[in-house]
Amino acid sequence: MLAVIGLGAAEIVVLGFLCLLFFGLLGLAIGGLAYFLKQAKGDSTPGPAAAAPAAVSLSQPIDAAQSSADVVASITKRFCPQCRAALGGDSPEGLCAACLLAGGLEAPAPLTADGLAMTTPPSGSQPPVTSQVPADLAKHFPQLEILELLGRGGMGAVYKARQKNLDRIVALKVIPPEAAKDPAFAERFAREARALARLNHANIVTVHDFGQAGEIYFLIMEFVDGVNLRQALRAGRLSPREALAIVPQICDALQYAHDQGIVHRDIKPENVLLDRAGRVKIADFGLAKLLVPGSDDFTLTQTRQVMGTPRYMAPEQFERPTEVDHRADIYSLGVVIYEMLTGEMPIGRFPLPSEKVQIDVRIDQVVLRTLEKEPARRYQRASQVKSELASAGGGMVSAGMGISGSQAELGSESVAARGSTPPTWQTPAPATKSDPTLSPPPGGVPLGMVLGVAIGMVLGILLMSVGAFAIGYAILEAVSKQLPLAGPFWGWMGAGFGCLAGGFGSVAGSYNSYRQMAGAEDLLRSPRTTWLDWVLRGYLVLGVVLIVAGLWDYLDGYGGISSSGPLFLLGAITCFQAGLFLLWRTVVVIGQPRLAGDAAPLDPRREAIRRRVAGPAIGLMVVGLVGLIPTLLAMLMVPTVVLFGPGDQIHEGPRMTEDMGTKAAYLPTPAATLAAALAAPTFALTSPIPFAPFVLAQPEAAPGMVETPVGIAWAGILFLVFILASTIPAVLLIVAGWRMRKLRSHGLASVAAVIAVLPCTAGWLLGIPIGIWALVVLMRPEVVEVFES
Amino acid sequence: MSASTPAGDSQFHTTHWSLIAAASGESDASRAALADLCAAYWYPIYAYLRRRGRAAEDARDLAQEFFATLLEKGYLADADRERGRFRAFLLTAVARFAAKEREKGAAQKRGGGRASLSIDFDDGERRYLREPSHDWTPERIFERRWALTLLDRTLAALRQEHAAAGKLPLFEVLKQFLTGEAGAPPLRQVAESLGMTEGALKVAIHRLREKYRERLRAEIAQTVAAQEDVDEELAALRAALRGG
Repeated sequence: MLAVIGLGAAEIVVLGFLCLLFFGLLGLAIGGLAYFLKQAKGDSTPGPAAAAPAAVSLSQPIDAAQSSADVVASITKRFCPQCRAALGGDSPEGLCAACLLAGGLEAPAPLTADGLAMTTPPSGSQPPVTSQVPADLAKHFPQLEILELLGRGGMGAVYKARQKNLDRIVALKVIPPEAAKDPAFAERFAREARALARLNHANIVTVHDFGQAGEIYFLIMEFVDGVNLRQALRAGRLSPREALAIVPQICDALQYAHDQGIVHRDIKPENVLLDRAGRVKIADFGLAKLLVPGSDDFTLTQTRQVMGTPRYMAPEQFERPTEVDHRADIYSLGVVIYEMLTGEMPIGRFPLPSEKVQIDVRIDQVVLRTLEKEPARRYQRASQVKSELASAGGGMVSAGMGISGSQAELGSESVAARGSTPPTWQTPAPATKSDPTLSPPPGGVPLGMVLGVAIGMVLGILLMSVGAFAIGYAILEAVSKQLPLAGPFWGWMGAGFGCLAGGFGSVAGSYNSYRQMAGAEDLLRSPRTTWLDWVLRGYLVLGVVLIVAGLWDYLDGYGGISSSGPLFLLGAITCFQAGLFLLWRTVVVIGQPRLAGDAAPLDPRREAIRRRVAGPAIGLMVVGLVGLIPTLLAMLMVPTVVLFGPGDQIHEGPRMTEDMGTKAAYLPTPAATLAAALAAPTFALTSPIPFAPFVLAQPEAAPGMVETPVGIAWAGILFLVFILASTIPAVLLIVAGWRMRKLRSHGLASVAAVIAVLPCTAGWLLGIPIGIWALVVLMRPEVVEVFES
Repeated sequence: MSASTPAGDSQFHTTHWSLIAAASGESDASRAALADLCAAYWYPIYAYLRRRGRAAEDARDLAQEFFATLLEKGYLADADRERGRFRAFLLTAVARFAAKEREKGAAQKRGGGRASLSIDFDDGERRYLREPSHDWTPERIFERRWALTLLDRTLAALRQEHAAAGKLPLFEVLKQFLTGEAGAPPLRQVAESLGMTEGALKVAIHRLREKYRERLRAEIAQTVAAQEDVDEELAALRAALRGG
């Protein structure tokens, strides 16, 4: 019919794809609008749950740091300052009964903490070091007056001592001689101790000095006047409020040390000290590593004795001790939190904390996530544990509190971003500051890095503008028949999309770097950067190089814009892919913790909903995959274009016959192009990179050029249109389906369901029933609730 | 309880419990003294009985009965008083008494209003419910409670003495130094807050400690057979407070 009004087959195909493009963009627009409306509504009308905790927080002290310290100090005050024994509520006049009785002796003996040590060794972990008693020690340390034994543990004995010249009380830690037998110990000791001495943080026990006196290796450390968490736990259960007041300070210490590249490896209650001013201080940082001899010459039992405390060790510390990183500390922290809350260890199929004590179920989620077996599934940063607990912590006020949708879905980020007070006695201020997903800590990121990211962003946006301009120019020229749908048009479009994709990749890469740098001193040491990020960055650089090569080629004058087109296109695809993956890494992988936590594996209601959602979710993914088929086919046109040569001519390539193995390749009409693509399915799995050499190796004047203007032009147009009209919605469907299966991203899933129904992708016939099904399931109130809690 | 404790000067000229017990058959005064002593240390007995698994009501009756029997029947005169400690004696006696009562049968109504001591058992039950719930033996609870009662009595006496002299605020501030300087604010600061010189403060602290030691030892002396046993009892009580 259209042919009647004077349109040829080519134009009809163009119109068809433009329609697809239009619908695709329309679908995105509608879905996006719906999502933002929903978000805006959530922002402006906080539900009753959002209002209730606000009221709670008003009645609470505003200064959280102060409040946390007060709570911790109230724990320490339950212990005798003299002998550190627990004071019961029945202590006479609030004084320590044992010390009072000691006061009745005729000649009061100096009080010693027999059996009431600061760092009580776990029973049977280490044979006691009996060879060194303070009397013996004294001659090694003329500068110290050794006052009393504070405790012994796997990490050696600790004495309270007075540094004579400075007249200050210090803790002297003597490394067990057994550990120091290893010939390489001295060197390792010096290296580690120097690293430890650099740790300067209010929540970390400072190392003043270290060295070797005779046969003895020692560390002189800050003396913490208080008790350790083990003693506090023994003296009686901590209230959830007390337990959760201790955690943020531990997180601060861990985050600081992790940023310095130091892993504790032995976080346990014995190493968490609470001083009388209410500060929490972590002791023995990195000493576990110090005391582990080289990985080849120690037995397993030795390892366990000196390296950590099995009950608090992360699974990978047993299984792959050499690969242990900071996330092992996060696991151990989880065990400590669990123990503080419940008084038990999370062993086997352990009950959720909220089943044992009155706390918000969201705290369960945080604890469970720190206890994930796989390091990649845990929180990746200690500061995340802190901010997540801060946003969930207020919930302990009432366990059964309903959670208003938007608030929980947006998680801590929204709470902090909107500057509202999280429902807790902790102030939002520290959480906001240290929340890595929001902004780099003040002074934490070097200026150069920030400038680099900013330049990357600006250049990317500029590049995208240039690309859009080039595309617009080519289309305008083509429409006004100034530019035939042939070589030059193809070249301009390629250049345009190359710049567009390059710009996109640049922006995505910069965003990725920015997010990863936040909280870390530099990108190279960012705890969240994995090898995958570096591969993607390399891939992006490759794409940019290709685009630059195309530009060079163009400016060089050889063959005009039409000869540079393929280079631009290869660059475009590469940059586009790299950009997409980088965005995925940034938003999905790194940004994960700020979304609602993983499903509690034990929640039957959640499991039921998950099963119900799985059907439509998988359906959406299938529709997305079907929608990707034309994209793959379009991508396959690139080799065709490359091999057939740019411009309005192709050359007869004997290479063609060998490579493609089909006669169809000689006839570059759209149909033939598709056929050729189908004949080489292996290309579907590869990136455009392998074809780059073909482009570069393009013979200057190929023999036997044949005129096929339409074929090449259509191949190009098909490719471009397919990429836009089908790829984005299809990828979106797959991502949304994937996340929907995990009960995440309700908004995204709703958008995807709408897109599935609209004729945006090749799979839309399949998408109509599945999209409707997904919409129906997603709109159920109980599903919405589970998604958001 | 401590407020009602007789804490007069009489306690300073120590009378060992064995002497009181021996005299209890003869004079009302020494009988009253013995009753006072029992009244002072009733709570450890009560806690012991509760920890033995007696219900609150049952433990109350049993304790009443025990003290009544103790005081009326001259039970004490039989005791091996010469070497004994009042603490050990009471513990043995109450254990034996409880066993005997059990034989007689729980159905038998005991006591019957024979309230020979005025004891606030409701207060005792409240205190017992606040006892730490760890798996201490009844004996351990008894000994711990004994030590704490002893200290309560000593400090109450000290407090009363200061109150009588109008020096209660001083006592409130200085009492924290009884267990040592650790954890207490610097002496200079304390002296300023009291309007004293640092030297005067040191003397005051020293005096308080001396006075406290005397009172504590006198209190203990009441419950042992001889003056020489005081240190031994002190050590035993410290062990009871600290031990495993």
